Amino acid sequence: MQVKKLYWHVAVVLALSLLLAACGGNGALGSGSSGSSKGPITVAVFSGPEADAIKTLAPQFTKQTGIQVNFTEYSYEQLYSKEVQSATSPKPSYEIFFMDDPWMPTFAGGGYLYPMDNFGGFNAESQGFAPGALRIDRWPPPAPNPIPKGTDANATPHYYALPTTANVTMFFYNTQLAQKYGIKLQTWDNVNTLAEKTQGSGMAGYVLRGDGGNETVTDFGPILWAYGGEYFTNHWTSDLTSPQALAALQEWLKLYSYGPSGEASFGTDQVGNNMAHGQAAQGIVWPSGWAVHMPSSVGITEVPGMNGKQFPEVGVWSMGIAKNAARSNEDFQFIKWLTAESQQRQYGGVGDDLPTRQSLLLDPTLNQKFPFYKTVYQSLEDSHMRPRTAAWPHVVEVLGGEIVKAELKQESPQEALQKASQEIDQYMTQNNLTT
Amino acid sequence: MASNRLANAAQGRRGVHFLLSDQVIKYAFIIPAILVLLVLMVYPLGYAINASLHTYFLGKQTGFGGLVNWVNAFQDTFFWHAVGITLLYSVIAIPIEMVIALALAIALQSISFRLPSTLMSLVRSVILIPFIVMQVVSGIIWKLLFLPQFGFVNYLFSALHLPSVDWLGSPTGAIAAVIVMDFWIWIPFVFLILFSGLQALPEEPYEAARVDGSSSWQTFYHVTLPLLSPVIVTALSLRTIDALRIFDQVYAMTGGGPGTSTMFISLQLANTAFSELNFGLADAELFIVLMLMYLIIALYYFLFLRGRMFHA
Amino acid sequence: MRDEQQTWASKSSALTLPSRPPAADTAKTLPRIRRSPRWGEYVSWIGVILFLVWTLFPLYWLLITSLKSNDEILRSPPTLFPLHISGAGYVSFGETFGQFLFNSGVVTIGSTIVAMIIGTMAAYSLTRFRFPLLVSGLLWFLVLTVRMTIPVAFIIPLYQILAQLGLYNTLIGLMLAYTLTGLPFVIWLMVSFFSEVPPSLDEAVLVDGGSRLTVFFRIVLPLAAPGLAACAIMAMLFTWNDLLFGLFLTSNADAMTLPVSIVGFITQYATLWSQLASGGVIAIIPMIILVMLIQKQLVRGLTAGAVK
Repeated sequence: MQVKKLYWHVAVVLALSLLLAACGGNGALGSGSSGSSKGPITVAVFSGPEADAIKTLAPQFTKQTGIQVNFTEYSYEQLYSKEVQSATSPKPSYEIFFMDDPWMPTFAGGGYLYPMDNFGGFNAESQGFAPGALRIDRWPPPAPNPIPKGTDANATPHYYALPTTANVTMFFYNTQLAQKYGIKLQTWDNVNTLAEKTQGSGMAGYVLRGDGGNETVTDFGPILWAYGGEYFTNHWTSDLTSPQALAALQEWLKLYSYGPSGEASFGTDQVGNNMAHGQAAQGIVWPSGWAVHMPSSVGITEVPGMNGKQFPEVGVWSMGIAKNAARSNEDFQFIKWLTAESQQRQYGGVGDDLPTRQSLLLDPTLNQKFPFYKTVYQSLEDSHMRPRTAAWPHVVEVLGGEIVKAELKQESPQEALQKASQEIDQYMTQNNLTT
Repeated sequence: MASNRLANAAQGRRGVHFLLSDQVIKYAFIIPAILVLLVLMVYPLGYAINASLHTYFLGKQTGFGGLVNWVNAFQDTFFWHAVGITLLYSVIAIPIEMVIALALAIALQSISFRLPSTLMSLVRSVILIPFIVMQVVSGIIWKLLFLPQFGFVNYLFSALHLPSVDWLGSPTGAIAAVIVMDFWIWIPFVFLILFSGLQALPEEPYEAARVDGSSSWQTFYHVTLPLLSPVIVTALSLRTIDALRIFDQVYAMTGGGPGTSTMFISLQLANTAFSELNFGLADAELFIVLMLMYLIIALYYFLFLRGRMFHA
Repeated sequence: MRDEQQTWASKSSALTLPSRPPAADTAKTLPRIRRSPRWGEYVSWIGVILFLVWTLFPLYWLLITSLKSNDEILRSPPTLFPLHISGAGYVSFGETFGQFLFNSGVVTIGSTIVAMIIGTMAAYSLTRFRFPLLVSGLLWFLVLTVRMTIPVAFIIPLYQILAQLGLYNTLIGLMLAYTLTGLPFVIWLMVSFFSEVPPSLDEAVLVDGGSRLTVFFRIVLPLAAPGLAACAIMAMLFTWNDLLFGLFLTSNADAMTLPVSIVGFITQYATLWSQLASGGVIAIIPMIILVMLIQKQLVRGLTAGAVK
């Protein structure tokens, strides 16, 4: 009767589902993990226009070599931790990592990547990459950057990844306004002056990424350095309680006050859109993904500095091969192919993902289409790197949070820097990173 | 008595193999559940205690830390801030939700006789939709609605000549946004429980009240509320349990921001474990959270359920 | 035995909610015999209608956002109806949709089946037999702890263990995690449903010489079938909708579930609003259809134990 039928149905459903689960677990639907040699290689990427450019090109690679490439996308913070988890586990989830340059100490320094010369003695230096872009992939890091504890400063340097996207903090500004008031934007005081003049015009004087984390700290870097401050001392203790750092934070808060409402939740998205829609007069924006969308009224130049020195901050994205990858040769094939001249010319020609080859950044045809390429190259060569430590993501978290509190007037700038310093010092000591 | 007869029958039944006897079945049915829970819950918790006594860096164990994680846990301002705002949000949102849901249940009840049953079903289904919808999507919906320049809420405010609020860019605004979104998602749930409770109430007290000539308000206060109170307490308990777990929709709408103003317990703990990769600290903190939960449950028990048979 | 079943079946209407409340219910807040509405009723009508608008408008907003182009979305003031209808978001989202849908499906069905089987058996035993306090107390303690505490608390050590066992980023690993949360829920719910099936039915069969298994499979389960269905639906719903476990126990498309894939469109960098909204619409349309079709079961599942 009905009871028997009921159980029969249940049994069938049960059997089917278990069957499906068994098949699904092995990726029979075509999206297998990187374990098997015939399957695709998995690349972990950042969810943004740089990754889009790479994803568009990948089918060409597959056509040429027959190797399928799959991409898993994550937000910025998630990407870092997922890559670390994959790198440190016996069963890797990704073959290739797409990495932001402050992460290189973690991955390269931690020994989680293959050096490029492992592959037939490939010499990264002689490929034609812009030196400003390539140097971030070098480990130990080049002088004068302090070396983290436990790294031998005299070890032979290797390159552990190849740079794919040239990015460096650039200063975007409304050219008409700058011309109108006759201000050359070379120092932060100039920036303040222009911002003051735009008060009441309906346009925000300055817009910044105020939502904490990596975005805020990255925008803060050029200002900190311009005012003579540093994140760390040479012994890897926090240097954020210095008077210079305080002056820098005060400048940051002043710039924040020129911004539109809601700025404490602004990320790259909002800042870029504000500049593109003429709602703000000045701001620091990444060229990759944004410069090409700016109207002609927005000029792009090197970030302002102080006392004749400017401090752009490099933010290049690279691709490296995980040490626990199963198919390192094929991974290398892909990276090499992707960063080759013809591929870089392809994505460089679109403008959303800047190429890292010197020849392309200075190429006359490309510069006709994208006049900011040359300026980006110059900034790259002048740029500073963020401190080379695996603790950087934590520093960013802590400092970013404190800056937000200062923005929202929950703390004074002194308190914010004090607390951040304390927390960072505690972290560095507890994890044995101070020298 | 029937049960004696049963007991005798069970023991003396011929033809029932020992393996099918009540004694065996009684335990056979329950052991898989106990085993699964031991393996999937007790073992991980034990693992967590052990892990909390070690230090971690980038997700790997780096040595025996003793109680350092526990000390850090009690000093972790981010963690206690998370506990604070979770409790704050709960204390604000839940009572309001209970009141609105009750009002809605009574309102629907009072017009239900005018609606054909299919329409009634439809109305109830529609009301239920926000609760059934994936909470991630709810987060996205409300993120869109609360956008500073392009969202509907501020547009509505400006149309009504109200000042526009910085919803997602200020701490109070963000928490307010989370609470408003919470109303949308959870009032249907509370409503449903209260409404079902209302419909199951007996008629005699109402007849008596009518005969006594009491007004609507008096009827509500002296008949409905007392009769409905067990249901209200259950709804309150269930709602509290789920409120403290809030994650999906906040992750989608604010990601915990601005800064850390909407980093509720789930978000903060997940951040410590999976972003900071400091499992030692996270494991210590999760025990503190567990203790807190037990405390709140005990509080509820003593406040509401003492003397009453708790449905368990 | 058959008679008992039929009598019980007719009584089972008590297990369902009356879809049309008897006329006398109007006495609850209004005096009886009402042909013309009082002001209280007007207020109620307005209240209910306002609430329905409040419920439906955000869904409408999601729908029109999914049909707008990204540029039109970033417009101030926002348009209340798309100027140009564009399906680009749907196309973009639909390209990668299949694998995540599959993963979600397998994990949901798998974990629910396991939880239902183990949980129903345990629930039956708990309602019909007396156990020493240690045993039943232990089980209830475990069930209540999982049911009441924050899932993140379990995920953290579970992740560490799964990673060591090589079960991180696998469907099996996810299923284990969802079974952990599903099982107490099933036990909780089924205990309340089984309590509504009178033990006298069991006894009638046993005295007649039937085995306990016969009682369970042929009498009790079929009678509790509506409750079983409600429980299964609720368990599947919560698993399907969940973000937390998927976010932290998966790392690529091998095991990633649908909610995780949707959230991937939200980035601080350049949020793809159109795709996001499209993904949202695609994800919730099945839910909405579900609510309409099996509303009764959902209601039963949600109110079980809360309302006698």
